Order: sequence, then structure tokens, then C-alpha cells
Amino acid sequence: MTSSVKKEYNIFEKTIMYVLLSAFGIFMIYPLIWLFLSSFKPNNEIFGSVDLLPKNVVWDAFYNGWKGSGQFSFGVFFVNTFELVIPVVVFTLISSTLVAYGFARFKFPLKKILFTLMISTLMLPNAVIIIPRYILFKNFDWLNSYLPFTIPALFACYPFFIFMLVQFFRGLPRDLDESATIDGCNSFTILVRILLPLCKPALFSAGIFQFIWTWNDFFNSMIYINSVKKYTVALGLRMSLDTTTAANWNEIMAMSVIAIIPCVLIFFFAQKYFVEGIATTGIKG
Amino acid sequence: MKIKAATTSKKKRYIGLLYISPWIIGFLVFQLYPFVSSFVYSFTDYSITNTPSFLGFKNYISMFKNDDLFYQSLGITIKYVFMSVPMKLAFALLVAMLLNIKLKFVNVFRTVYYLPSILGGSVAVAVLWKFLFMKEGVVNKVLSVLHIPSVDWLGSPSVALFTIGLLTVWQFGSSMVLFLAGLKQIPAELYEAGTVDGASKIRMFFTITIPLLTPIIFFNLIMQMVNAFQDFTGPFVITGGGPLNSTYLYAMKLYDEGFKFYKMGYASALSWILFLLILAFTALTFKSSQSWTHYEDGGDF
Amino acid sequence: MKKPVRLLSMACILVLLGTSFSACGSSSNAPADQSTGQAAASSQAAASEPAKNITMRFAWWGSDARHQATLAAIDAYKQKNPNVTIEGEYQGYDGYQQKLMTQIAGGSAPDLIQFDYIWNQDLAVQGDNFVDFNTKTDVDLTAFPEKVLKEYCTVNGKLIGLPMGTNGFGLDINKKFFEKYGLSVDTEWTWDKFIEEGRKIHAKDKEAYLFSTDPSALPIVVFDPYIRSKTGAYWLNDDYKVTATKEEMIEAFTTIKELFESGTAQPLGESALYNTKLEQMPKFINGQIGSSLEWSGTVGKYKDVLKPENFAVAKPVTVKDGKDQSIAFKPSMLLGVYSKSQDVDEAVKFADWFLNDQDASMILTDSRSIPTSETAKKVLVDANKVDMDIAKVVDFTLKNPAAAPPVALSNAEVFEIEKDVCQKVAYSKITPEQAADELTNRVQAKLDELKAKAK
Repeated sequence: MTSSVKKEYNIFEKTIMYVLLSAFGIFMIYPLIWLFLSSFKPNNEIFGSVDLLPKNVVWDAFYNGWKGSGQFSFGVFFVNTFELVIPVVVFTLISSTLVAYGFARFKFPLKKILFTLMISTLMLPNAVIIIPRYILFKNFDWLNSYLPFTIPALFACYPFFIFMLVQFFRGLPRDLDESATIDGCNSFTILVRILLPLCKPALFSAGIFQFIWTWNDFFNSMIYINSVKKYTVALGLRMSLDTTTAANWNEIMAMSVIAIIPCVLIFFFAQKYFVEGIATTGIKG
Repeated sequence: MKIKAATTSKKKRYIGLLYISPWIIGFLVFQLYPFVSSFVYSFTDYSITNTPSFLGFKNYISMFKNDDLFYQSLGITIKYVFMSVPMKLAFALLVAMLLNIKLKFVNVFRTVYYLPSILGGSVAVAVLWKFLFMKEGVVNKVLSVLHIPSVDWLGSPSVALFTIGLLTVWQFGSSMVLFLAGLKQIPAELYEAGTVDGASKIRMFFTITIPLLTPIIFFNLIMQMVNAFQDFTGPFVITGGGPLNSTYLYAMKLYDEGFKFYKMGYASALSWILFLLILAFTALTFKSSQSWTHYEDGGDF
Repeated sequence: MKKPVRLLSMACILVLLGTSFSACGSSSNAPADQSTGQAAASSQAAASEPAKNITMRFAWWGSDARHQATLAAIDAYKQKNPNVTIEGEYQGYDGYQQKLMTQIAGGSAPDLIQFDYIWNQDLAVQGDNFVDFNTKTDVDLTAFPEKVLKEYCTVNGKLIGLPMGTNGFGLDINKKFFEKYGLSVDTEWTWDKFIEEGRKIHAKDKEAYLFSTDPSALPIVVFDPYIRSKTGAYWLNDDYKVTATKEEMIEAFTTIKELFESGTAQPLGESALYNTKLEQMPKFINGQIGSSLEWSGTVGKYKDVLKPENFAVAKPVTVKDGKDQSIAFKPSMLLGVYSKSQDVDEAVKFADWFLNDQDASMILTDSRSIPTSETAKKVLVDANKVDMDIAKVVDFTLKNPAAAPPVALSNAEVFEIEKDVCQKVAYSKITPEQAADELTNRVQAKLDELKAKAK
């Protein structure tokens, strides 16, 4: 039994929905199609014509694009990006869950102030804190590595996810906690055995978001990473763009398409954790 | 029961702090120094390569007195936020409701609707948006087929901001995903009970779905608003702030002041004004949420 | 039952913490750290000692072609100097300046830095960030024209960078377009004639424009040269004063106004979308734009998109009977050595080789424009390895190069004001008279500010 709306829709209503979804869906998928087909066009066709299909087909954009500028291939960049993203996602989920649980379910001194402080760290633009952060990480000797990303993730430096999980936790009735306490559970077990399973959709959303956002991060990666051999895909995609020389845009398009494949796959397969909802809330009667 | 509550709550007081301790450490180590630094910078003439000297409130005063673009970009940003955020949330909720239904291939549809958010940071998006919205672009071509006159989407100062706003609305995927997650958390029994009681689908939407979804609506509203105030990728890569500064969002001005003009002190001052503005709007939203947001945990925070 | 779960979770967290801190040790071995140990050794000039291993970081921006050429040159240097390893830190143009500034703020910039002379004031005036080449003997400064070194590469008497290439200025032409409308590629244009022809062409075809420029180019390719060409001097001077008269400015702004009103120039709203990216504009690609005023460095990308047989270059547009017919000129980019580098002498040696050595030049060719170094340039010219259109532009520029612009002209804020006022004229938001007033007032105020700071 899932929590999807169990309404019976007749064929007519369903068809309308399909039509609507498909019509708007075209706006969503058109860019990807254009991107993909551009990998087969020469530069002047990519920019010069509105047609989707190439007239003079270029076949080696994927191969050449993968090779990159020669020193390091996109294979290296992909491995680097996974090395960066996976720890960040795992650490973020663990730390944000613990912190969100603290805020959502407990009362403690200064709680409101701390919560406000946490949210307010989202309100200052990155541009003015990047230089002090750079100096901070330089003093830790973490430059040119992925530590400026992974260690803050371990210490819940992503208020977006904390706040998000707080909201989801608050959507669960306290009776659950209370009946578990009666059964002898401590706070940690309540979290792990009762609340988390009910928050699976939220956890998977958080994981997906953090994966995709970290995967796509350009500015912070550019500032902290110096060696080309440690570049991520986001950096690799932009390293040939100069104002004075023509870039091989079909190669950049080709690599852009490849770059989003992991994100698309993760989303597509993690979806079922949205679909498989909560059987019951656990409260009888 | 009451005695039990009293003793457990005492223990709970400090356990709560234990759970949030990772954040406390993270904040003290990684966030406090940069925040305080930027606050201090805002009172100096820090220009990155110099040793900053104290200016008092000069930066703030000249911001309000001498900087025309300050007011212009602030106005543009507020317009942008109030235009794009509601639209984004409305689409996100609408599509989430549609995709919550058991249709065949709904998996594919969900992925398709999330694609723009994945593509978000892509180099290609800038090229693509120009391509779609330039005078002889795809959108105008489609309009001409429908016998609607072309619009100068990106070249006209009165329309350009809207077109840039469309870019962020198009990327409603994350909000949609959160709505989906929220919808999934609503117990099916409630709908069953409702149907048994004879309530119509629309009635159940307003009495069951929306109230239980309010924590997520609230979250999306706050987050999208906070992000929209700081957004500048669109104008940065597509219009460069133009035409005639009509898409010169505040965060872009801030970035220019810091990284183009090397006036990091002034940029920091700008950022703290933005901070106060966002804080004010957020506080207002939090306050208002007490009347329309429903929490299953009893509303106790 | 509950304990194992808790223990397991705790264990997981500890393991993760453990791996992340051990990674700390291995991944923070950035190349720069290795050279710290060698610092003492490298500064000892003893040639008889076996050379110590040195690792240096070299940052540049560019496209694939430049990356490959530079990496090849670095390889060649390594063959000759096996103890010197140079790690390239290369990327595209976007974000390069921001990153460099952040690195300098943090005191961890690379040993060798490619930069634009426009950033000189901000990079080098306050803070001693670059090595003064005048104090180094390992580099052959005579290979570079003294004028260039003095006017573009020196700040407060310190020679902070060596010019890597020379950019001339010219009119990039779509040959087919010119042929279609009966124009000769060799025409030496004056603004009046240019607007006259442009008007005729646009009257014939509403979608055709003789000329295109974008908001960030408008001040540089129209306003600045107009005043300089007419009056013989830039519109502001090195003493932080606006020197152009109101009448002179009005004339320049009127020209801008007419450029757009007559249909000679593509509407700014259209070209603004393709700021510095004219090669991506459909109208340009499809041959509806006749010409553009450009630095020689960009010839490559336009030629590529229009196809070489459709491309030609000519001298830039001047003012009829103007006092100054010289042509704008600038170094394409400079190469500097970071003052905090641990291997200053080695870096200087490499810079000298990179820019002056004939073998290096043959590898690098014109990836950074035509080399400024005479030795490097000669080798390429003799071997015919320079793009002939780039060579043509640089040639006629060097025959009559303009004086270096005053330092204040490269200030980013002054430029923004100039850009803003020019834009307003192009969009017919203000009259040339109003523009002259506004430009003078706003810029003079800004210059006064800058002058006070410079004291």
C-alpha cells in the first residue's frame, strides 16, 4: 500500500494527463536533445542554425572530447568527481540527520538562537566569504585536495539539508517516539529504527540533491583545486573556453551529455524510494 | 505520565545538544571565521592585495548616498524574487501532484521533469537559453507559427528580466522532488477515510493534502526565496546584466564589486545589507507560518 | 538488540573519520609543498653541484590549442633540464582572474603566472606580489621592445611581467558580405564613410549590418579610438584628469548614435547577448554582419567560423583628418614570477627560455599571438608559422603603434562608467550632449577618488 493518491482515474482523465505531461515535458527534455545532437555538429551549425539535426555530421566529438586537452582524459576527471562527491554525500546525510534530529525532537537551551544562526548562514553570498575560507583552508593545508568539501560535510555545514530534514521529522507525530520510549528505546534507536525508515523519501532527496549539486559545482572547485590531475568534470568542461580562440563546442557538448548521465541514472533508479512510501505510520487505531 | 515527562525532558535537554554538536563544531571551525571576516571587511577598504585600513561606516554611507546601481539592482532583485519564486513553487506543486499518480512511465516523466535542474550548472545552458530566446530563436519561431508577434526576449530591457526569471522557474525540479517526497509521507489511510466519508477529490486536496504538505511548502518557500535573492548565474552567463542593467541582480553587483573592481570591503558591506534583507523576509515568513503551517509533532519547537 | 545497531553506526562513523583524516595526509601533498624543502638548495647558485629536484607551478588560461602547445613546451624544457618539473595549472578564461586574486590574498599563488596587463594596478600596486625582472640577470630583456616593457609591464618602476605576445588592432571582414555589397576589402575607412555605406546596406536589407560591436567593446573600439584619432590624445590623462572637451565628446557620442540609428551597427540589444562571443552569433555565422573591430588575437576564432576564404583584415576605422592615425596596440598577456615563489631564479630562467628561446617559439607558435620577443618572432616569421591575417594586422599596427593608454583607463570602475554611458547613447536613452556631461562628471569624480587613493 503506497501513499500515492489512490484515486480511480478513468481513461479520459489519464489521457489528458499524459498529453499535458508530454507537452510540457518537451520543454524539459528539448535541451538535452539539442545538447546531444550538437555533439554531432560543427561549430557553425551549433550556433548558426535552429535546426535540431546536423547537416554535416561530425562523428569524433565524443572520442576527442574524452581525450580532453591531452594531458588528462575525462576518465580521470570522472574518477576525481566520484572521489569528491561520494564522501560528501555520505557525510552530509549522516551529519545532517543527526543535527536535524536534535533540532526537531529535543528542547535545549539556546535552541531558537542556534536554529536561527544555522539558517542565517545561508544568507550570506559565497563571493564575500570565499577569500577568508580560502585562507582558512590554506592554514589547514587542505588546498588542492577535496578536504575543503568533505570535512565541512562531515560537520553538517549544509544548513539546507538540516532544515529540510527538520521539516520532515516534524511531519512525523511524536506519539511514535513516545511509544518507542515506552518500549525501552533510547533516542538513538528511535532515530534509526523508527524515524529514519519513515523519512526515506527525504533522505533520498537529500542524497540526490547533494550528489547533483556537488557534481556540478564549479566556482568552489575552481578556487580550491589547482592541479589539473585533480580536476572534476565541472572544471574539465570549462577548461577549453577562452575568449580569443574557438573551442570545439561539439566536444564540450558531448562531454556535457556524458557528464549528466551519472546524475540522471542516480535519479532514475533512486526514484523507487520515493514511490515506495510508508506502509503505515505505525499507530494503530 | 507527567512525572515521566519531567524526568525524560531533563535528560533530553542535553541530549539534544549532543545531537547538534557536529553542526556546532562545524560552525565554529568553518563558518564563524569567514563570517566575522567579511563583517570586519565591510568596515574597511580591503581590496585583496592591500592591507585593509579602517573606514568606519563609509562603505555603507556611500552605498546609500552615491551608488545609483545599488537601488536599481535591489529593485530588480526584489522584482525577480517575487516573480520567479511563486511561479516556481506553483509549477513544482502542480507537476508533483500529477507525477504522484500511478501512470505508466511515470518514472520517465519524473526524470524528464528533473532534467533541467541537473543541467542547471552546465556550460550548455547559457548557449541554449540564448539560442531559444534570441530574436530569431526557437521561441519566436514557434510564436510566428501561431501567428503571435515576436518578442525581443533578451534584448529589450522590459522583458529581459522575465526571461532570466524563466530560467530559474524552468529548474523547478528540486522543489518538485521535495513535494513528491512530502506527498509520499501522507498516510494513505487518511484518503481512504476521506473517501469513506464521501469527500470529493478536490475537498480532500484542500483538507488533507495541503495541510499535511505545509511543512514542505514552507521549506521550499524559504529556500527558494533565500536562493533567489543570491542568484546571479542567469544574468552572469546570458545577458551580462544588460540590456541597460535591467537584469543586473544584486548578487551580480556584489560579485562585480568584489572580483571585478577589487573592492572587497565594499562588496562585503553590500552582502551584509543583503543578509539583513533576506533575514527580514525570512523572519516574516517564519512568523506567518505559525498561522498556516501544520506540524504533526504538535507544533512544538 | 539495540546495542549492535548503535555500535555498528558508531563504528561506521569512526571508520569514515579515520579514512578522511588519512586521506588528509596523502592528498595535501600538493606539488607546491615539495619545493619548500628544496628552497635552500635552489638558491645556492653552485653550478658544479648536482642540480636538486625542483617543482614549479605555472598558471595560464587558454583553449585546448594553447594548453597543448604550452604542455609540449614544458616537456621540451624538461628534456633539457631533467631536474625541473613544471606542473601546469591551466583552465579556461572564466574565473581565472578571480582565482588568481584569491590565491594572492591567501599567499599561495603559483610560481609562474600569466596575466593581463589591465590587472597590473590591482595586482601589483599594493603588496609586493611580483618579482622585478629588472633585478634579474638570467633573463634577456633586450629581446623585448623597451617601449612595451616600460609602458605596459612596469608598475612603480618594477618590471613585473614580460610580454608574451603582441596584439594589433584591425577590422575583421566577411569577404562575401563586402563583395555582395560592392565594397573593397582594402578601403581605408573613416567613420563618416563607414556610416554612409552602412546606411545604404541596411536600407537594402533590413537584416544586414555592416558592423557589429557589443557593450563591452563599444568604448574600446569606437569611443576611445575616436577621441584619440581626432585629438591626438586619450580622453583622460595620467594625472587623473578628463582632458577631452565637451565638444569632442559630443562628436564621438554622435558618431555612436549615428552608427546605430543608421543601421550600420547591429542593435546593441542583439549583440549584447554575444558579448566577446561574436563567433557564436547566428547572424555573424550566416554572413549578415560585414565587419567587426577586433584585436588581432581573436582572428583565429572568426576565421574558423567564417572559413578562411571568406575572411580578410584591414586597417581600423579612423576619424577624417584626425590628428592621430596611429593604431591601438597592446601585449596579449604578460608572464610574471610570484615574489613568494620558493624557486624564483629557476622560474625566471624558465620564463626567459619560454619567451625568448627559438625552439620554444617553434613549439608555441602563435598560441599567445605573435611573440613580442624579437628573437622568438623572427624564428616564426621565417618559418612561416604565423597566421597571415594576424601577421598582417600586427604588421600595420607596429608600423604606427599608438601610445600606451593612461593607467586610469584600465581601471575597471572607470570602464564601467564609460560602458554605461555609451550603452545609453546606443539605446537612444540620452543625447550625445547629455552623455558628454554625464561621462565627464561621473568619471572625473571617480578619478578624483582614485587619485586620492594613489597618494
